[in-house]
Amino acid sequence: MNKIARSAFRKMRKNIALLITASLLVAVGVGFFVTLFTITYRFDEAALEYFTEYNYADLTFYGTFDESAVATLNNQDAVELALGRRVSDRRAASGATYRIITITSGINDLYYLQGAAPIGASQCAVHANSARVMNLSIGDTLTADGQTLTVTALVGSPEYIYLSKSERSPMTNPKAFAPVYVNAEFFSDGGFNELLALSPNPSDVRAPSGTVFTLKQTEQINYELYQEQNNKTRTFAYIFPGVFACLVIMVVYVVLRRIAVKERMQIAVYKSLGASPRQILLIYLGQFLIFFLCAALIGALATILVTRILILIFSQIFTLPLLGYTFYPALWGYSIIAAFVVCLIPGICALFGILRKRPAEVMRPEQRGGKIILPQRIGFLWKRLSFNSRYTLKTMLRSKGRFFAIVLGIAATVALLTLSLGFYNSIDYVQTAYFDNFAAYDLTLSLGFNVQPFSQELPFIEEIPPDAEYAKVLQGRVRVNDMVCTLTVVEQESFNQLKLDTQLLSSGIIIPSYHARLWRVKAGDTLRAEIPLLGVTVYQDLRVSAVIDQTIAISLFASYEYLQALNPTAPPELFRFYNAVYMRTQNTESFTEYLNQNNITFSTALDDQNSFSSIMDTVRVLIMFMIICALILGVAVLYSVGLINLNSREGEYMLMQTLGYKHAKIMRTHTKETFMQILCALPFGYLCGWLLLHVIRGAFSSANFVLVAAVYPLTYVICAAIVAAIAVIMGFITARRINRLDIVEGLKSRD
Amino acid sequence: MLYTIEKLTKTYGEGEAKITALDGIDLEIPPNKIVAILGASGSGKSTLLNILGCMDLPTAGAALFKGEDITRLNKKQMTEFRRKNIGFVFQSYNLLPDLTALENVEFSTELAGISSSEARNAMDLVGLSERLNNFPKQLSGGEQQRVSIARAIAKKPEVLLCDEPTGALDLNTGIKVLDVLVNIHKQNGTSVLLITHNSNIAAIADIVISLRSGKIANVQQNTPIPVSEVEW
Ligand SMILES: Nc1ncnc2c1ncn2[C@@H]1O[C@H](COP(=O)(O)OP(=O)(O)O)[C@@H](O)[C@H]1O
Ligand SMILES: [Mg+2]
Repeated sequence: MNKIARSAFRKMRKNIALLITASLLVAVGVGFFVTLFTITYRFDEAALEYFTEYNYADLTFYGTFDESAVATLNNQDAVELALGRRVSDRRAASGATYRIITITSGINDLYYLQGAAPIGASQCAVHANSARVMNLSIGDTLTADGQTLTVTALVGSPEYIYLSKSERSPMTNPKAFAPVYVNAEFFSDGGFNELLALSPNPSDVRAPSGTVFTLKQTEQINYELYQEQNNKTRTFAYIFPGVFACLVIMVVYVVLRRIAVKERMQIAVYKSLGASPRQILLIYLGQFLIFFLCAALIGALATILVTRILILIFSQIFTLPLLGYTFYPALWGYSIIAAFVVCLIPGICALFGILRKRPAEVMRPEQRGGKIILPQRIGFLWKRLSFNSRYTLKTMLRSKGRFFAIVLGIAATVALLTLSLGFYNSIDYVQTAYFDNFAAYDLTLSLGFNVQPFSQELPFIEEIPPDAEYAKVLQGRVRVNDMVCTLTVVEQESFNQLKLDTQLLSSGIIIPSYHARLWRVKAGDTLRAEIPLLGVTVYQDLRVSAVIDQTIAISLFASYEYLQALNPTAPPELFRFYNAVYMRTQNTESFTEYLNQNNITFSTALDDQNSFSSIMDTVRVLIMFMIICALILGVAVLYSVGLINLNSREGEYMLMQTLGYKHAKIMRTHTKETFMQILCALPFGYLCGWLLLHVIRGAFSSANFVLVAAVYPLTYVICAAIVAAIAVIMGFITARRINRLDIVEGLKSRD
Repeated sequence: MLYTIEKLTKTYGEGEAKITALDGIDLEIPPNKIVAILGASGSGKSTLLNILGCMDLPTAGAALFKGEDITRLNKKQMTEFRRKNIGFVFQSYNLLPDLTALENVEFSTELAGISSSEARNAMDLVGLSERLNNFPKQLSGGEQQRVSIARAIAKKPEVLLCDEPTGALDLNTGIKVLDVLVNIHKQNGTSVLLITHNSNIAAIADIVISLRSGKIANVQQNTPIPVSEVEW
């Protein structure tokens, strides 16, 4: 073997522990990167493939239609195919909602995971995810509204990658909601309440008469969730490997800086023998290159398994049958390039100075005087410290480069822990912010598109518990600035089922801060809204009277009174319609039983909480993944910190040993140093974690859900405790090394 | 001439702390001789040798190696020059601790693009063919210095530059090392520049150049005495 390569190999042995730790970081970083990007890419491809192959409707019209509406739609040039269907929610005895949907062949086609298409009026196919959770399999029967259906197939559908029951419940717990597909014969009466259309130019399609509201494919919650999911995964995919890469760069830099000082003479000899800077670089970087390449490969190989596991976990959360492990050579390529870069850049930086010097300059030992450190200048502070602390501080700060590298490493661990745990806090905070501080209802009832005039009382008025306070509201999707959002219209005087300052509604609408930022509007500005009212679309300029922070169930709020005031000439009854009821009552149980029996769609505050919780399931998986990585990072960093501290103190510790100091005393000095470094790193780590959380918060916020960054005080304590615990454990490991320090050998090599 | 040195000046530092290590030296060194450079510590011997070995550049003046000005070379050419023409022997041996004795020598021959059999020959020449696979720390000081000489001569350089090669050795081992140097000079005709602050050692040289405070104090043609007669 070539002697340069051989030198590189022999050098490995001296740094083996640090090499392995740095390689671990490389492997985990690469694993994280490749896994999440494989999922992002594959998820994107699989979803698009699914949408095209299974004809995800480009347009969905909601309203009341007959065959002629389908025909007029089909006659339009812009329409490739239009089909009508019935969608109707039924309550199961269990309380779950079955959404009975007519099978439409050619649009929103079903993906048969198991079984065969249902035949006749008494067979059905069930969405696979709900079926799994509800323990339904082929041959089982389900009863909805007294009608019994036999399950013949488990299916997926491009419009139900996510089980979104409604915009209020974007990701419904599959235990509580199942799309059930039936043949047209199931519905004995004719007519449709939804029309589906395929069209290359959805904007050119005119809505048929009877349409209440139209949604494009991209405006569907299912589609929005798919896009958000990818943004989230992508954000995660960048952050961790980024932080890991920075750390690896630091480790390589610090190690090589130390080598450059320690092996100064050797480098001079290489030079004097006529080795070129590139060859010397190879001798010192070779060890890192080899280790990192192997680590990158191991990390990438591990993704084959980890990706499959993650996909398996995800498949419990959403149904995308085409999602499977795929090998993306480019990702492996990038990882290997990155492994090179995190080795070469810090390597060149660390050795550049010494390599460009002439050999004679390198050969002359550098003069190193006792520097005065900063705390020493602050006299009154310095005098108060014990000799021991002064000594520790002084040795610690003597080499600033190493000190900062160590502090940064620990800070990164703290930052990632703060980020991951802070994420949990934020989710919890969002939930509290909504359910404790905003929502004041126990129950919401929805009449869907069955808009009722105020004059017509609730059909079940008799059954409403006597203590109930309820409010009739109009809730639906409107289009503002070309964006579909929810508008809730309430009675200004009496509405108190949400903690909303209804006085503000007299002069305008209240909008969520997320939308205000997006549309760049503030209180006082006006917005143009397209509001579907009783089959006609009204265009209205609405004044923004206030912007409020909302986290979930995000909605624009207006009052009947304000809308009426905007149209003084119109008859007042025109604005008095409702399709939902917000209710506060102590007696939810008996009432919901009644609602169940009578097939009235409702959701309790608890249902809403569960729905929110489901949205966060994918995120929780990612957070767990993140915490595991943060812990690995912590172990790796604190282990190397221990080693670096030990290496640079080797001489002193050996001297202490020869002077007869007890092992415990040396250990204490060693531990003290690590803890001082942790102490310095904590504030910085907290700050970075907090900032990171704020940065990625954006990627997790959408029109459906806004993540508010919140880190609870306890989290800071836990982070510190975890880091300290790891440091203590790593301390025990390094302690064994102190024992093994060979005094004679050590003193000899120091000459 | 092997080296022609013209008004060679080297200063270190600036202003108050300015040190003139070489002060306008003019000198000619003929080939195939053993030349001793004699002078007190700090007189500029190492500085001169470093410039002649292309390890450093002067502040002013020129140094011609076989007519070519080596102070005008760029870094790459300097590296190339050291690789081809120069063999260094340092006071503190400076063997590469990660490589065995033989590998240390082979490192040098590989860089120079010479067959590795030359490395074994060189180890024979310094009388260490028994210790090929020992690491430096398993060798005594004298043995290490002999490996260092083997490393310097294996690639058959034009010049062997030795900076106080016996400075760290006792009399007997020092004599053995000097013996090796003289033998190599005799066998291969290699020019040897030998730095020493000891005039007894200088007696083995053909020419003795005395340096004092960065200036040439004296250049003396000498009748070399056999190494065995050296004493210090
Ligand atoms: N890199 C340097 N920086 C500053 N002064 C130097 C440097 N190298 C040598 N000197 C100074 O130059 C003078 C000559 O040094 P040197 O050539 O090493 O002397 P010698 O080898 O004869 O003992 C000394 O005073 C030394 O301190
Ligand atoms: Mg000297």
